[in-house]
Amino acid sequence: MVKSKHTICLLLLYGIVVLSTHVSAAYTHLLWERSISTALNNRDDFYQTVGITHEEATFNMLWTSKGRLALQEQLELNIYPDIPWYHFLLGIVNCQISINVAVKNFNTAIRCAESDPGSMWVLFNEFRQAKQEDWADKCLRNLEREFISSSALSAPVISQQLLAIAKQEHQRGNPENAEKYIAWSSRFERYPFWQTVYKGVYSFPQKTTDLIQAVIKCIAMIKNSWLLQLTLFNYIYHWFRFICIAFICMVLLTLSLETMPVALHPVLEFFPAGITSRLRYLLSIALLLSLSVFGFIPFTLLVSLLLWRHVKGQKRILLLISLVLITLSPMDARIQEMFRMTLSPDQSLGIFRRAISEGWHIDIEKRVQENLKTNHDDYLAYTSAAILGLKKNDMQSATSYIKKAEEIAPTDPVVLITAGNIYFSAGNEQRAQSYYTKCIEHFPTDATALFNSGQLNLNLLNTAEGTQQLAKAAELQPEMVNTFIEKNADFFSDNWPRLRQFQQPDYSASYFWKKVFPAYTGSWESTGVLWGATLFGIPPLVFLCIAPVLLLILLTAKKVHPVEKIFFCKLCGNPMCRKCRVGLLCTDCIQATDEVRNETLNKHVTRQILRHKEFIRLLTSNILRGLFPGTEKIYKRTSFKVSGILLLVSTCMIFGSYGSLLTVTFSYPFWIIQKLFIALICCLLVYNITVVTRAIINLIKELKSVGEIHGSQRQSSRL
Amino acid sequence: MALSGSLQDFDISYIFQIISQEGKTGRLILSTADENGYIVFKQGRIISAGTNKENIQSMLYKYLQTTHRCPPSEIKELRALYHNNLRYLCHELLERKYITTEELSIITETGIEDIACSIFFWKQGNYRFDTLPNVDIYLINNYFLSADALTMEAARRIDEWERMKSCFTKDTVFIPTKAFTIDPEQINRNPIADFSLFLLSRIDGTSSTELLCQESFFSEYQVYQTICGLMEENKITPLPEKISSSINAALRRTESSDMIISKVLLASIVTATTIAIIYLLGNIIINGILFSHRISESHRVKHEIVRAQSNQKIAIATLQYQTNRGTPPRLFSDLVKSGTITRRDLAVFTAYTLKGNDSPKENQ
Repeated sequence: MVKSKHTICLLLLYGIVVLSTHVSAAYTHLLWERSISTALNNRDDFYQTVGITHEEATFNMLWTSKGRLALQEQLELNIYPDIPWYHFLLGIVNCQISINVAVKNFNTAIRCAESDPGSMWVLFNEFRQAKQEDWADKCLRNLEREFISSSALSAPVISQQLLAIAKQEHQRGNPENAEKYIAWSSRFERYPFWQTVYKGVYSFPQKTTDLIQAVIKCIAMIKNSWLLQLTLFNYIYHWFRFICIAFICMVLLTLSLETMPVALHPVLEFFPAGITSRLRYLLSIALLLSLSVFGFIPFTLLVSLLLWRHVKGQKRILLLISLVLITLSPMDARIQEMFRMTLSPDQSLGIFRRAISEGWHIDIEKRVQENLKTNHDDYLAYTSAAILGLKKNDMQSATSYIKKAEEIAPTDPVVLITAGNIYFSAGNEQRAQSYYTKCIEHFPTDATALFNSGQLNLNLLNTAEGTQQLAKAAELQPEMVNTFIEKNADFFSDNWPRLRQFQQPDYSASYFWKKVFPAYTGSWESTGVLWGATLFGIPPLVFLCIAPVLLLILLTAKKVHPVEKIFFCKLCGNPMCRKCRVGLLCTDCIQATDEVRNETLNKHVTRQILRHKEFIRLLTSNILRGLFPGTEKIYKRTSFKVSGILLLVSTCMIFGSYGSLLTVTFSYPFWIIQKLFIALICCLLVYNITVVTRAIINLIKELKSVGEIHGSQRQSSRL
Repeated sequence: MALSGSLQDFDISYIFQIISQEGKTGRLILSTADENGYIVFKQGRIISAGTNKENIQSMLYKYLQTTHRCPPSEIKELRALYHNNLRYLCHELLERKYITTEELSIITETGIEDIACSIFFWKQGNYRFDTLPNVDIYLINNYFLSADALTMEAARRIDEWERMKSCFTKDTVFIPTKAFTIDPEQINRNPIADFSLFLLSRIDGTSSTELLCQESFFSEYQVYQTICGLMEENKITPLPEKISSSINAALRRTESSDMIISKVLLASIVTATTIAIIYLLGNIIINGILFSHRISESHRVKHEIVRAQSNQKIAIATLQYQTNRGTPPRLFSDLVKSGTITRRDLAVFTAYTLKGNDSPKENQ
């Protein structure tokens, strides 16, 4: 028994492992991620050696002489000349004794960590925890120097952690420090979008101006960056998609509440006679709902088709819109595929983005090589490999890759600038110049090409032409050019490193949307993978072709039975066919009234049925009014105004907002916009609560008036 | 020559007269569109009668059930044993002391007379007389009934029946005019002797005449006659027609409620089974077997971006945790506790990447 239990557990565990390895795609480590991890392990090992536990890593023990002496004794046991933590701890201990010695120790610690950005980052954290802010800043400066000299544009490992530190400082009540770390975080990010958002959101609602400024800054960033534009469009589409889903659901729900009893009436006849029509209806609804197991699209299609015959006039137009939206679902899959192909870090464009943004490291190199194996005709894959070759200073491979890229896309600005950069870096100035010139000929407003060409001309002592080009570049993109030059001057004076002699290329937003986006949006074949088995395995393109034809058939099909087959009970209003009607009443009403010979009693039963019908109508109408405002204007109405549709659309937008807000994901942790998110959800909730309250008040009023009418009717009948 | 023909040609009384005058022994079989009956003659005298609706056996069984509280299992046994043999049944009942000779003779005599008289109401159909050498099998307690006397009694009953039907119908419900206190012992002691008392005990304002007939061990005619007698004695009074109809409707509903419950159960079971089949077909066969690969591929592709974002966030948060705490997090939830990520971030990561693995090291 025990053995079998163990076997089951093992099998389950194996299943989980297999599942998790199958589902999780290979994760490509970020720039400096491994380096920081190794540095952290080294630090922890060293601290363990000298007897510091992680609770003591705040170094509070140094404020007592006993603790300081204990640490000093431990450090004096051995000498570790190349270990930054050793020198750091010595400096911490010596801070209390001699500042000069401490400065020397700290300087040595920084020097030891200089070669490794991971160690430098951890050292920054140690300084910060030891409240040595100036030394911490020095570490960050060293880190930034390493960052820009490797030609990296963003290091999320650093920027996200710095933003988290800013949050900690905010929580501790140090807004100046928080501001400082937000600024530092921005320096390690190509587009400091989330830093700007955080800055605006954190001071909201106390400083609304900060939020406005942040919004303006974000708009400016979005204007220049194709990546941010793409991400924004993705979010907007995500929202629009939820609005459409909400619209389909609301229209189908409202029409179903009204028409489904009629549409399902033939199913009702399969149930044995003698069961009340209400129970039969509930059972058939359960049957219908069970079909949702086949997926959202087949289910909504089925419901729409069921309702189609029984819906007329304006309602039919609404149903038609829903049907069109459902049939356009392959297009939705195609658009989602477009966003996936362009935004996913595992696709060509994503890898290219990382190749530009990050400095060289082994993980990104591996990922680029894997991508090359599967995409032989992809010029961006070759360009990414060439950029990484350049960053790695492997000119041979960089040259061969860029040649292949040039063969495929000879006039692409990124290919041309990258080729120019490679030859510039390799010392082949003439060739580099030809590429830059070619790029400028094709794209005269490309600031990067102008800047790099200007730099090359300065190197070749063509001062006049170089200066002219640099001035033009600065004129086109002043912030980018000035920041680049300022950073170079700040960190390297006149001795600019190899990779800082020129700028890394990237697409302008307009070029990206015109040329790159259409080429990297996947295909219907790849959309088929995303579409999966949405409609019993029918490929999306096939469904997209068939659906309009089916819709046309549905629209043009004439009624087979011109005579009305479904009637409505005079009392309860339930649908009935020829089989189940008895005169003007349904079997249920006949059963309830026919056997009551007493006239007063009969009238009472009739009134009760009518009141029940009215109560159900009022309740349903007000539930719809409260939950989905706008739908009540469609429910049980023969015609409705444009205002009703507008209200319905606005409700769809509200529910679309709920859907998108609750499912949207970001590359940065959620706490950055948590405050804004809660504020938005609260605004939406206020709307919903108000609407629900109004509906409840309305229901009570209507019920009262109905009660009064019935009361007066009863009194008149008694009289 | 066999005596047979249509009742439209000859009246039953005339057929009886012929058989009686001829002193025939045999069985007269009569049939209409929905009824069948027989009357057994021995030497021109009636010894037994029965129809498909009423017969002596069923009267005896009803009597045993209502007055002697005979359990249904025993009745079932008796029915099986003496299905076609009334004489042996009567013998057995006397032997086992279910009833006394007196009770048996009253039931059989009244029953034969009532059944034979009821046949006189038939105006259409066919008749056939089969002469039989021996009809002793039908003879109970040596009871004989003169055909002439029966013919006269039948004629009287036809008139009487019309009069009774004008007073009340089968749906009429009666109520006692005064509150009677009837001793049940008194009724059970000899219900046959005072049938009116037995019937009076059954009249409570909820039983229609039809129901009283069904519960009674005597024929429909006897019940009607007794009710008339009780009405004349002013012991009972009929309820108005409308109230009687309502009571009957309520009775019918009560009767059919059991059937409805079984139908509801059946419908619910069938629906639940269909839903289970649909679920099986949809979720297990279509989604699980036929398109499982496509679905898993679709999921993998659909959440590619979210997974990459989540992995990145968790990787950075893990580093941050270790930087601050000096040790990597044991569980992903530690990251939430430390404030490096939010619950929502972890939920997204768990949903799209983790799949049941809550240890950062194992996941890496």
